[in-house]
Amino acid sequence: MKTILTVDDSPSIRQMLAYVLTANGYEVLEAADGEEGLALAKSHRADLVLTDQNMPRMDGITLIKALRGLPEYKKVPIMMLTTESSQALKQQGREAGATGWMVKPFDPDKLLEMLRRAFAQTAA
Amino acid sequence: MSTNPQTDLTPGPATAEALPALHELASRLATQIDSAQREIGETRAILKDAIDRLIPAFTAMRSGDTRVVINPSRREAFSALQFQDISDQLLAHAQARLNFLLHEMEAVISTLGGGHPEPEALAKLAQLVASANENLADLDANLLKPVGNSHLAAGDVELF
Repeated sequence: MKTILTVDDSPSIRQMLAYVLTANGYEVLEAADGEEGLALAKSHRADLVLTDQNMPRMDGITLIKALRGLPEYKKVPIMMLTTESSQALKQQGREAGATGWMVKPFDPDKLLEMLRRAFAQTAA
Repeated sequence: MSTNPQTDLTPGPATAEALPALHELASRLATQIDSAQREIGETRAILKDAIDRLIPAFTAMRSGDTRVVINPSRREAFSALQFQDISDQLLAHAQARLNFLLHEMEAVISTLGGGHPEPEALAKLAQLVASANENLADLDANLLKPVGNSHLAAGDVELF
C-alpha cells in the first residue's frame, strides 16, 4: 500500500483528501504546515507528497526544496495542490523540484488520475 | 495685502513640499482599498457559486431522490466544500489590507494632531510616508494572489 503525505493548513482540505485517498487504497499521513510536513517526511517514508503552497511556518515551495535535499526524497513525486495558478509560481515550483501542479478546487477523479500518472512516471 | 494667519489656509513651504508625497501615499492606500473590496467581492461570488451548487443536492435529499445526490452532485459537493479554504485566504488578504490601512491612518492622525501642523510634525509625517511606502511594498510582496480560478470549476492539472 502506497503512503501519501498530505500537507495543508486547511483541516477541511486534509479531510477531503484523506477521504478520497483512503477510499482508493492509499495510506495517508497528514501535516498542517511545511515544518510539520518535513518532520513527518523524515520520520515516515512517504511514496508521494501532496502539498499546498500558502501555509504558515513553511510554505510549499520551501518544503519541496527541503525534501529534495533529503536522499530518500530525491525521486519521490511531490505534487503541489494549491489555489495558486500563476505561471511564475509554477516555474518556481518546477525549479524547486515539484513533479506536478494541481489548482484547487480539486476534482477527486482528476486527482487520482494525476497520482496514478505520477507513480507510473516514477516506476518507468 | 496682509493675510490673517488664523484664516489663511494656504500651505506653507514645508507643507507644500509634503503634499505630493502624501497624495502619492493616499493613492497607494486607495489601491489597497480597491484590492480589499475586490477580494471581498470575489469571496461573495465564490460563496454564491458554492451554495448554488449545493442547493440542488440538498433539495434532492429532502425529496428523497438519492440518484441526484449520489452521482452528479458528488463532484459538485467536493468543489463547493473547498470554498472554505479559498474564501478564507481571500478574506485574510482583505483583512490584512484593512488592518494595514487602519494602522497607517492612526499613525497619520497621531502625527498631525489637531490644528496646523508644526515643522517637526511635518518632518515626522515625511518619515511616516517613507515608512508607509516601505510597508506597502512588503504587504504587496507578502500577499500572493490566493485564487487563480474566478469560479468553482475544478482546477487544472499539470505534470512536469
